[in-house]
Amino acid sequence: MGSALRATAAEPSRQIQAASGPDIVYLRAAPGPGTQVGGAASHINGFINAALRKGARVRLISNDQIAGLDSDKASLRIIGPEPLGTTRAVADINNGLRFTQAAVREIERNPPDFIYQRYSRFNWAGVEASQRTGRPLFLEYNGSEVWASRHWSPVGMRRMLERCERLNLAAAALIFVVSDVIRRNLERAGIPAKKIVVNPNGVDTDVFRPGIGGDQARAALGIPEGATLVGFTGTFAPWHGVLVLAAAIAQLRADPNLWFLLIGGGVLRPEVERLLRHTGAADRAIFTGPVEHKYVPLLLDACDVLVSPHIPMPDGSEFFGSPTKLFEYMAMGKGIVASRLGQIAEVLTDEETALLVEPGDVQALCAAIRRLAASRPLRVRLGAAARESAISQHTWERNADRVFWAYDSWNDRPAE
Amino acid sequence: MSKILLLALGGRVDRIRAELNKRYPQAMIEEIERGDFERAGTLRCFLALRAKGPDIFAVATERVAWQRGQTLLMLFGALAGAREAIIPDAYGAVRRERRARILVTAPGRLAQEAILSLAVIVRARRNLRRLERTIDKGV
Repeated sequence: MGSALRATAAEPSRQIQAASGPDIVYLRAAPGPGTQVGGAASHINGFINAALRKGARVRLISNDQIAGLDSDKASLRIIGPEPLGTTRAVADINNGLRFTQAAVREIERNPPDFIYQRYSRFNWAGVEASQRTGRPLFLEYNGSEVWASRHWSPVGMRRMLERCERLNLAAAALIFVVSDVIRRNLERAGIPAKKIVVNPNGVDTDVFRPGIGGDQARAALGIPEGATLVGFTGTFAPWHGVLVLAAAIAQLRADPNLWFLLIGGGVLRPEVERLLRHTGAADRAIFTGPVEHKYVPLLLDACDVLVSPHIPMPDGSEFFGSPTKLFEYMAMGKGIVASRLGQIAEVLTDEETALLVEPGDVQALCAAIRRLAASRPLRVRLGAAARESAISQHTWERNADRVFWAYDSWNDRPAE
Repeated sequence: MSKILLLALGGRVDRIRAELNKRYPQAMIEEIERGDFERAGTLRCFLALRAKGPDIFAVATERVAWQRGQTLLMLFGALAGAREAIIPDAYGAVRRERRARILVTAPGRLAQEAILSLAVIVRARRNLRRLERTIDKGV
């Protein structure tokens, strides 16, 4: 296990009584609709639900609905977008300004103990609110928008994007990052180490657990008796390794016992489908398309083996992600095959909680899938150990604990 | 039989396609993937679109309220010959306009959007500079 995760595992687990927790304003101003799929919604719900369970008061200000949020427990104020802007960047900036103006007004009326913002491009609502109220800004920074614009999805107005990112990082009292790699990147960019808290993603182990109806789901999917179902959930995007998985499925097509369940959507889905059709491997591959997060546990429970074939970033940058699906796989207690990459290799231990393979190695991926498919005892052993690890170290409660613990430390800091 | 050209920018395309089938039961739906659209570039895509001679130009999106460039997309369809341009989303919302209205109002709307966009940039720069100064001073 990596140093950052070891460090966080040693932190005290804070038990907060009902109504004794901090008052938090959570800002979500992502430049796109809040879809019901994907890791972002899981992350937001995971943290908020855990914070509420620990007695915090959470007021969410968002530019869209948050799928799965229990609005009886957390108040939600929506500041909707306006589809105005001649370019993508201008549209984002316009919505950022709209959001900031309304959110700051709301926060000034009733300032919280701290403002927690999920960082997004061209948005400085948390900075403005913190300046106006004197309350600290805790920034959840899941990666650089400048990097994303350069390598994933260009948005334009790079100079303003860089200034916006620098402003958020400089103004935040604490910055929560999902991986040690992001922490190192920020330190290299001159952010003081004392401001950075590594807080990996987590899972709700009551929701993601074995034995929740997978057998019926298998029947509904038409999986034959005795077949091995290999599952993948995630975005069909380059770094998720879906093309590597497609190549593996093509090689494994000779084994009539192996079926594949591919949950999710994204830009590479048409290419994956084409590849499988081309190689004659499409017959035993089921594409569900994007699925609401609440149905994902049932589908994962239908599987025997779960794969996480991530590959390195295309520009050679270190893998900085903290894949939500990794923790969800672990909680399902299934046999896991995953890439030996970044945090994945820190969280999982080869031959103990999963089978790890070199990223992008199709032969190794095929061999590991075959090995797990052939041995139920191996799947049971690895799955049980993975679930135990998820329960003890990777729940959303642990994630919220780290935020509260950091808040306490920030409150107790010596006066400057 | 009329022809619908469906540009799949986002959203649940299957669901949107089903809605279109329900609303236009006699129409044939031809789909353009977002990747193909982006790879081809605006001019080539426009020429290809025009050659297909659509009666209706539909743009599938995740959410109409979030879809920027709506005027331009509709104008694109109208100039390609579609008598109607529609933007349906995955949640049942839809924006629909006839060709004549699009052609008459689009120039004004585009000019207005350009001016508003400029104002947005000026305002954002001003706000950003103010906050940068405050943070630099350690206030």
